[in-house]
Amino acid sequence: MGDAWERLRTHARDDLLTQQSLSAVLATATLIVVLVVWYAWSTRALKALWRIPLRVLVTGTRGKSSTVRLIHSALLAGGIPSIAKMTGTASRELDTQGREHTTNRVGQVSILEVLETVHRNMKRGGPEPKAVVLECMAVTPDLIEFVSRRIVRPDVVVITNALWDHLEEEGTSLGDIAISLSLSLPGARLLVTSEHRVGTLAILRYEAALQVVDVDAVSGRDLPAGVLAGAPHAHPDNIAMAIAVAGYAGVGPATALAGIATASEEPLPVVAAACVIDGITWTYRDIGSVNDTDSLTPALEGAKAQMPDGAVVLGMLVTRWDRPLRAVQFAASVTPEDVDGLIIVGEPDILVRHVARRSGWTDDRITRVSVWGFGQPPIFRRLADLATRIAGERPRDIGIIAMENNHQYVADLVREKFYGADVL
Amino acid sequence: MNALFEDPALFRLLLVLSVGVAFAVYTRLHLVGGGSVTGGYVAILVVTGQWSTLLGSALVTLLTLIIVRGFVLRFFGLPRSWQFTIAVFVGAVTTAVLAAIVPAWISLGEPLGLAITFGAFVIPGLVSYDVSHQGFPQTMLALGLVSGATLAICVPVFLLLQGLPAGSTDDVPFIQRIPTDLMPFAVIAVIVIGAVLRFSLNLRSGGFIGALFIVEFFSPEAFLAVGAAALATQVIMSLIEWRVVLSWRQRAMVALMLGALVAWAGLYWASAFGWLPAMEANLYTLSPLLATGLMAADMGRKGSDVLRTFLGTGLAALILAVLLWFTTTLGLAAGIGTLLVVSLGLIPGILALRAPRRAAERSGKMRLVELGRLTSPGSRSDGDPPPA
Repeated sequence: MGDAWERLRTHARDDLLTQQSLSAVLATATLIVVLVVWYAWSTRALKALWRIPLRVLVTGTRGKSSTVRLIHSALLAGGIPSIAKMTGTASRELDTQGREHTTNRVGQVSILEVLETVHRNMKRGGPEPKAVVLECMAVTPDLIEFVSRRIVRPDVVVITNALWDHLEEEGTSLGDIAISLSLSLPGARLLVTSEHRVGTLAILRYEAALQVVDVDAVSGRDLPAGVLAGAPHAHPDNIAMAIAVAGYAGVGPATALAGIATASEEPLPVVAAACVIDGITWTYRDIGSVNDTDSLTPALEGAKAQMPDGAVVLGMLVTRWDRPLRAVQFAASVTPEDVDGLIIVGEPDILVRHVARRSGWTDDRITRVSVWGFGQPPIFRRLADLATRIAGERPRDIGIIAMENNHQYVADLVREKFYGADVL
Repeated sequence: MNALFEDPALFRLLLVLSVGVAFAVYTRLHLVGGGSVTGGYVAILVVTGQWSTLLGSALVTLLTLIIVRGFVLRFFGLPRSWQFTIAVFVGAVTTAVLAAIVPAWISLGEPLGLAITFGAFVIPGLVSYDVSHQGFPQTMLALGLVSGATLAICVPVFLLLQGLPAGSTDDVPFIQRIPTDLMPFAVIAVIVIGAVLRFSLNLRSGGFIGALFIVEFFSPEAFLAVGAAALATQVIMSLIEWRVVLSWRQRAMVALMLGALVAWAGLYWASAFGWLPAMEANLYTLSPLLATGLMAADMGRKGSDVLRTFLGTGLAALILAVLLWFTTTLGLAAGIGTLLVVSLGLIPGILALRAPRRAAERSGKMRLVELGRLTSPGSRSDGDPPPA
C-alpha cells in the first residue's frame, strides 16, 4: 500500500505540468464551457418562457399550425400580447404585434427551436408577451413529454385530433396515437380538442382525468354558419378550438372571432397552377400537407375539382424513406377510383408499388421517377408517356395531384415548374 | 504518426474537443456531420497525415449512400434504427472489401489504430445515414465546421504544448490481442451482434466499439472497469440533467464527452495506483474513452437503461470473443459461417417489423371502407379475399 501511495505521489508530482495533464485540463474545460454556456443560454430562455402567464402547447395530427395562428389572432384581438410559433415545412413566428417572421433553418427541425423563438422575441421589442402559443414539433412520445414537462410547461394543451399519422413514432392504432399525444398533458390545466371519434376522445378524456386536467371537447359543427363565414379559409374545428382557448384566457367569442377573421393563412399553395409543356397543358395541385389518410378524401376531392375537364389525373405519391409506414398507408388508400394513374417518387418505391398493386393498381398505370434520374428521359416526358398509356392517345390536359408529403427532391423539381423555387 | 503529435493525451484532447465543437454546431445550426465523433476522426486523420484513409472513407461513404438509397431502401420500409444499422453494416462491409483490394489503404492495429480502424469501418455508414436524413450539403457543412474548428483550436494548442514533457508513462508492453488481419471481420461481426441484441432482445452494446474494446483487452476486469466508468458517467449525467435541459442528441454528446473524461481520469489514477489492467488499457489512446462514452450515451437513450446496456455490451463481447476464437482456430470461412448462424438471431426482430407495416396498410384501407369501396380493411380492392 505504501508503494502504491508513493507511486501515486510520484505520478502526481511528475505530471503536474505536462502535455498529458494540460490536455486533460483543457478537455475538462471544454466540457465545462459547453455545459455552462448552454445552461446560461437555455435557462435565460426558459425563465423568459415560464414568466409568460399563459402558455399554450398545440399538438395533434392535423391543423396544428392553422390553429396556432387562429389562437394567436384571437388572443391579440382580446388585448393579450401574444407570441406564437408554427413548425413543420412552413416554420414561422408571430410576434406581439401580429407580424410574421420566417424561421431560417439551416439544419434539422429541433425542439431547441422553442428556446430560439423565445430568444428572438426578447430581441424584437414590442409589448411584453402575456401569452405564448407553440406548436409542438415533437412526434415521438418521449419527446412530446419532454417538450411539455421540461420546456413549455403549458397551462393549456390543444390536441387538435388524433388521426393515422406518424405511425412510426406514435403507434399503429388510434388509441396508441391518442395516448402518445396525451403525454403533453402533465401539469396543464385544460385540454382543448376537436377529436370527433368517440373512442379516441374517450381515451383523451381518460388520460386527462389521470392528469387532473379539464377537458373542453369542441366541434366546428356546433358553430353557427355566420361564425364560419367570418373566416372562410379556416377549418371550423380549428375556429372552435381557438374560441375555446381564447375563452380560457378571458376573451369573449365575438372578440375572438373578430381576431380569427384577421388571422394569416399557412403559406402553402392552395390553388392549382398550370403550365404548357410540349403542347400539353399541365395542371398541378399540391395536397402534400395532408399527411394522414383520414383527411385525404376531402383534400383529394377538392384537388380533383380544380383539374380541367377531361384531364388525365395522376396522383403523385411523394414518399419519404424515413416515413415508410406513411408510404404504405397512402399506397393502400389511393385507388384507381381516385386518380387515373400513379407516380411514385422517393423510397421505398418497390414496397409502395407492391402495396399499390394490392389496392387495385396495375403496372401500366404506375410510373416511378427515381431520385438519381440517371439515364432517364426528362420527368415531364415520362409522365406524358404514362398519361398517353392510360388515355390511349396523347392527352391535351394532364393533372398532377401531389400527396402524402410536401417535399422530396423529384417532387420539388415538378413543383418548381409550376410555382417557382421559392414556394413552400 | 507525425512526430509532432506523439502523445496520446493530445489525441484524447482532440476527441473531447471535437465532440464539444459538434455540440456547438448542432445546438447553433441543428446540423450533424455523421454522428458525434466523425469530426474528430477526420481531424485525427488530417493531423496524422492519413490522407489515403480519409479519401477511402469518403469513397466508401459515397458507395454506401448509393447502395443504401439506391437499393436497400427501395425495397424495405424500415424504421430509422434499422436504416441506421444497415447503413453502418454496408459501410463496414464496403470498407472491408476496399481494404482487401487495397491493403495499404488503412493502418490496422496499433494503439491509435484500433479506434482509427473502427472509425474507418463505421464512419462511412454514420455519414451516409446523416446525408440521407439531412442532406449532402448540410452534412458536409457540419463535418467541415466540426473538423475545421477542431483543427483550428487543436493545432495551436498542440504546438504550445510541445515545449512541455509528455508526462509519465507506464512501463508495460502493448499487446494487440485481436490479430490485425482479423480486425475487419471483428468490426463487421460486432455490428451484426449489436444488431441482433438490439432488434431481437432490445439490448444496447455500447455503440459497437464497447464490445470490441473489451474483447481486444480480453479481461472481465476491462469490462467491469469500463462499465463502472460508464455507470459513474450516467450518475453524473443524471445530476446534470436535473438542472440542465438537454435534447436527446445534446445529451448523447455530453455523455460521450463526460464518459471519455471519466475513463481518462480513471485510467490515469488507476495506473498511478499501479493497477496493471489499467496500465495496459491506458496504452490504448482512444478506445477506452470511446467505449465508456458510448456506453454512457447508450444508457441514457430512449428505451435503454443501465442494465440493458451492461447486459448488451457483456453479451456482445462474449459472443464476439467466442466467434473470434472460432475463427482463429478453424479459419475465416468457419468464422463467417458462425457469424451467419449468429445473424439468424435477427429473425425475431425482422418478424416484428411486419406488424406495424400491416397496421399501416389496414389504416390506409380504412378510408376505402369509409367510402364503401371495401367491406373491411383486410380485403383487397379488387374484391379478392384477404391475403393469408
